[in-house]
This record gives sequence, C-alpha cells and structure tokens, in this order.
Amino acid sequence: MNEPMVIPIQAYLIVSTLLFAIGLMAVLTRRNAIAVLMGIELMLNAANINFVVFWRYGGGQGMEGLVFAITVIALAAAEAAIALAIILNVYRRFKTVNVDQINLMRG
Amino acid sequence: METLLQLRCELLALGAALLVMLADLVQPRGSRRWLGWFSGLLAAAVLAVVVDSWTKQVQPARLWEGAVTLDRLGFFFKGIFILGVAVVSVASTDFAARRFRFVGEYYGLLFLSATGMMLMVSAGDLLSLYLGIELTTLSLYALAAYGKLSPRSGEAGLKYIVLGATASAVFLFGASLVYGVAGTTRFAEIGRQILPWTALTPGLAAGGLLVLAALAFKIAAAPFHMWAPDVYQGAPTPVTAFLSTASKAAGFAAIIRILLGPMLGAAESWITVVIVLSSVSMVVGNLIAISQKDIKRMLAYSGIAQAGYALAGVASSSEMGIVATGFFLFQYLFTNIGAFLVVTAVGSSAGNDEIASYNGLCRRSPLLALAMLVFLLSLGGIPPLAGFWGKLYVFWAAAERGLYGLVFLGVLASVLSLYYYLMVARAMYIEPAGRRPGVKVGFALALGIAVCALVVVGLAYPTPLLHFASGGMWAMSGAR
Repeated sequence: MNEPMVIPIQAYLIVSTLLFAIGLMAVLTRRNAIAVLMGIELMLNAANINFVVFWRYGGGQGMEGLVFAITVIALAAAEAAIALAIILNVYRRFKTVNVDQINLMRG
Repeated sequence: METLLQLRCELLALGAALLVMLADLVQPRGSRRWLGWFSGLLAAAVLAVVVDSWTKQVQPARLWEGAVTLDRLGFFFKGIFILGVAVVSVASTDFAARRFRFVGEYYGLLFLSATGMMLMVSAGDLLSLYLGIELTTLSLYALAAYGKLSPRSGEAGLKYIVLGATASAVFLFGASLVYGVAGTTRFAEIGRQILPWTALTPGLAAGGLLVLAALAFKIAAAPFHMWAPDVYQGAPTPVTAFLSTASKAAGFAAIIRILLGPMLGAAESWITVVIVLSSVSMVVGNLIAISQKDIKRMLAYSGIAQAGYALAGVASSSEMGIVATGFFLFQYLFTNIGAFLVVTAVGSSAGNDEIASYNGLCRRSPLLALAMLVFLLSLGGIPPLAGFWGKLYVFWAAAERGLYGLVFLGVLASVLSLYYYLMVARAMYIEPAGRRPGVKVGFALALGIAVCALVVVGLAYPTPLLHFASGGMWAMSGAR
C-alpha cells in the first residue's frame, strides 16, 4: 500500500498568505462596508489556517494552535455582530453603506 | 478557586459592568443620573482592590502555566484604567442622561473595556493578550458609535471598527507566524527561544513586526494613526476622553509586556523600529495638529505626538524606561481626560467644537478657562505640571540608553507643540468673547474637571507616584 501523499507545509503557507493578501486588498479597495467586512473575515481565516497548520506540522505538542483557531472563530462572530450593528445604524443616518460617501469629517 | 481569586480585579470589573446594566433596569423611566455616580462608586471600589493587590503582590506570579502574569507593573496599569472609568463615568453623568437613550449599557461598556485592558496587561500568552485586546476594542467600537442619532458618531464607529478589526487580523497573522516558528504562544517560552541569539529568525521577525504594527495601531502611533482623528472627533466627547487615554495606556502595557518581556533578548533588533515609530509620531502629530480648527481633532493629533514621547521611554528598553512610560501614561490620563471634559462642557454650550468657540472663555467662565489652561500647559510640558515630569522621565530614560537624537527631536517637537496648545490659550484669554454666553457646567462634570486639574497640579511633587510605578521593577524578571 502506498503512503498517503503528504502535502508540504509550504503549500498551506502560500495559500494562507495569498488569502491574507486578498483580504487586505478587499479592505483597502472595496467601497462597500459589507465587502470590507468580508475582506477582514478572509484575513482572520488566513491566520486560522496558519494556526491549524503550524499545530499539525509542529509535532503536535499542546493544543495551543487549535484553541487559538477556535477562539478566533468565536471572536470573529462577535466582531461581525458589532460591525453589522454599527453599519445598520450608519445606514439609517446616511442611507448608504458606501464608505466614500460616509465622510463628514476631514482635515 | 485560589487561582480565580488572584484575578479579582478583572472579575470585579466584569461584575461591576453587569451590576450597572442590571441597576439600569431598576428604574425603567425618568432620569438615571444616579447611574453615573453609582458606576463611579463601583470603580472606586475596584480601585481599592487594585491598590490592595499592588501592596500584596511583592513577587510576580504566574497563573495557568504562565497564561496570566500578575505583578506590580500590571496592577499599576490596572489602576490607570479603572481611574479612567471612575473619572469619565462620574463626569459624563449629565452628558449621558441628556444624549443617550440607553444609559446603563454606556457605563457597562466602559467597565467591560476596562476588564479587557486589565486582561491585556496581565497577559502572559498571545492568546490571553488577543482576548484582552478584543474585549477592549469591541466595547470601544460600540462606545464610539454610541451617539446613535449623530451621523458623526456612526461614522466614527464604522471607521474605528473597520480599521480596528483589520489591525486585529494583522495581529493574529503575526501571532500565527510567531507560533509557527517558536512552537508555543507563551511569552516565557518564546523568550527562552530568543535569548540564545541576538538576531531574530526571519519568521519571528516578520511575526513580531506584524504584532508590533497592530499594537502601534492601538496606541495611535504614526504611521498607524489614520483612524484616530476621525474617531476622536466623531465619538461622543466623554468616550473620546476614555479612548484617548485608557486605551492608549493599555496598548502601551501590551507593548511593554511583549518587547520588554520575551523580546528583550532581541532588543537590538526592535529598538530601531520603536525609534522610527516614536520620531515619526512626534513629527507627524505635532505638524498636523498646528493646522486644525476643531479642538477634538487637534487633541487627536496631539495624542499621536504624546504616543511618540511615551514610545521614547519604551525605546530605552530599561527598567527606568518602563517606570517613566508608566508615569507618563498616568499623568496623561488626567491631563487629557481633563482637557476633553472641558471640551465636553464648552461643546455642549456652543454646539460645536471649533477652537473659535473658546474665544474669551476667561471672561465668560474664568474657572473653566483656568482649568483648560492647566491641562494645555501640562500637555505642552511646562514645569512644574505633571506633563513636564512625564516628558522629563521618558527623555531621561532614553538619554541614559544613549538615544540622544531621539531626545533632541522630542524636545524640539515639544517646543513646536506649545504653538498649537497656546493657540487655544490665546483664544481663551486674548480674543474677544463676542456674544457668546457663559458656559454652564453641571456639578458632576465640574467635579471631574476639578479632580483632573488637582492631580495635574499635585503631580508637581511626583515622588509618591514614582514609588507606585517603580514597584513594577519586577516586570522584566517576571515576564521571562
């Protein structure tokens, strides 16, 4: 029987770094506040992939990586809840969620 | 149980948050001004426990295999946070009753964010640090957007949460890299791995840089300061007072925990980064502050510059630097909260926060103008006020380390900063008042301003506070 193919750790890291970069690009370039939030979620998930991969490939001492990833998932939900509440309130005041038009203060 | 008792400060702050929100339900209608006094009282009680813990904690202790560190430095910072809650909640009694529909949650969120800050300063592990940061900032996002009817408050909340959540994600990515290289998230064990080499491995350096960038965002140090002016200007003024002081202090506490804890072995690698952050903050903050017309925005840029001064204390990477930074942040708490409380009073009366609405304040409300003058001079570092000692100690610590260039730049920047602080003083004392009416200040707000002014003047004799701050001498040995 053949050994199961082992994916090298670099492959995972390339994926997670790409995901992080895509998320950052979305935060910087998207004008819709909801889309910006989605970009942030991508960045968080990139970090999560890293935690799980490093846990899996790091010899598996302790559960820190897994615990970290689960905590991040829970906190990302809390963050999304508050962000959506704020966006909802902003929408009531401005009638838009376009971050370019939500700009009363400058200087 | 024994372990949980050691976390009494955090647990009491959490309990206070829940108690205030429950107390809000007792009286469903009508004025709820007493809630401000009630939460001030609760904060004072927590402060008593913090001071008591400081006295008892002679040696640093670690809980849960090092996930939480308890030492005198931590308790000193916890005192700063809870003092901020006490002053802000009492002083915003009238403001909250008039402007906010939900008063209990406002005070509850203040306590919750203080709980998060306490967790940040006790952190001995990247995970507990992350939890502390999130609890702090999630509460602060909600507070910044708390003026639900004001479009500016909503805009401030939106900008804060978008940029803050991005910073959190950057922090996490950095933390994951550190975990990958070091194989652990405990500060003590990471420190043990760094010590043998003076140079960092690339993975650890990249991870550390990302973590540092995220924390620089929390203290609003340039070039990670873009959120601060908009958020400070848009948020309700008492919230800005809390946000600009306590949350900045918490960010510094986390930076000290990391850089002067596990990363101390690699001081040669990060010291340049901190020097750059410090000098860019001093230059950018002071230069942009000059052209501001809105006083909250001006104080925001001034806060960026002040973060630069405090970073000079961190850059010294010595025990004296930690004490100096702690002292600086303590005096900054009272100086800046005081200034923002005056802004609250004048802003409520004038309806806007233009510097022009301070014209002739010394004839309209002489005491208020005098208090503002004290805060401005302290921010500018005029002896013998608290701000002078704060700057003196951080620059002294930096000079002892041999960072003369940074000290020179810092002194130059403080001289420059006097220009825009005195512009406000000029408006208050020289410009004619015109038809502007006198500013009515409620008792609670006046009490808050008076306490801040007294502390700022009283710290002209800084020795007792230095004693409390230097109890944190254990910090560096404790973090390893």
